[in-house]
Amino acid sequence: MDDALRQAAVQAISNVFETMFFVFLEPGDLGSAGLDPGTAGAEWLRCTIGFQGRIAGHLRLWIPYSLACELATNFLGLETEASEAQAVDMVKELANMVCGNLFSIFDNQQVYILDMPAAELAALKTEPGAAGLPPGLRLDFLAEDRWIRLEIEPRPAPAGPNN
Amino acid sequence: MAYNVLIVDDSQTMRTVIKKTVAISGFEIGACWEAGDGLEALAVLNEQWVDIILTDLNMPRMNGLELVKTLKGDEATRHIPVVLITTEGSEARVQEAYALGIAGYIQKPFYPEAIRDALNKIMEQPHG
Repeated sequence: MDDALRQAAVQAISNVFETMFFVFLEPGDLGSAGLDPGTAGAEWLRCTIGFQGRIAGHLRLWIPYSLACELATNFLGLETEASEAQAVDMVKELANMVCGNLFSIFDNQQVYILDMPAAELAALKTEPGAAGLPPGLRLDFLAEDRWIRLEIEPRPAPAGPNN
Repeated sequence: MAYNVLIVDDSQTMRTVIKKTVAISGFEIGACWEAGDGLEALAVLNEQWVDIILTDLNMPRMNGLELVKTLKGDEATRHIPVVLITTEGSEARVQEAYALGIAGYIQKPFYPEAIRDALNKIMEQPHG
């Protein structure tokens, strides 16, 4: 399942970025590459959205705040830089689109219920094996020369009567 | 002929983008109203004449499917075509939405042409 979920996630996030922002993602590994000077010490927006279906859990999208502002500015066709509220709203919609598309690709026959996305400024842990990193699928991409990260954290299936 | 459009989405960003997309798609718009969820949409419909509704699915308070159910159960609003614009694309969900009476379905992310084609197709058809 992990490989199918991984492929669906890559396809979903690539499709969303290309269609909505005309940005082409380049898969990479932030853990081994490390943060570039433009991203190190930067503020990140972390958006979390819960899902329930054949599998349940959380999807998290990490995106540098500066990139979120640029994408929101272009997406909305603004002449001045997008506000924090506009950047946060855009990232929430972005995570919503990635999550919805992911499960359309991964499991088209099953209805998945998506929670309302929540976004906040947060610090990204990048070191391999860093404490606090959640288990599950973690995918890194370069977007406009900055890293973004997608995490999918399935919840363990509840124990059945025979388990 | 210009059509009055109601855009329902809890994301201000998406309402703005959909509004701009409809505007550049070549579809003739009269007035364009916005609502943040199904309940706000019903309030707009109490006050304004709307020819077509573009609604998100996943919204607080009253979601898109609940809005469609309410509209189709009311003689005054059942004729208004509703297009669902949503991130979710499971076949079961789409079939459920069509069974409730939606006139069209567009999955996010979308190209402007998808909205233009859906609107033109829907407005060429009789509704009731």
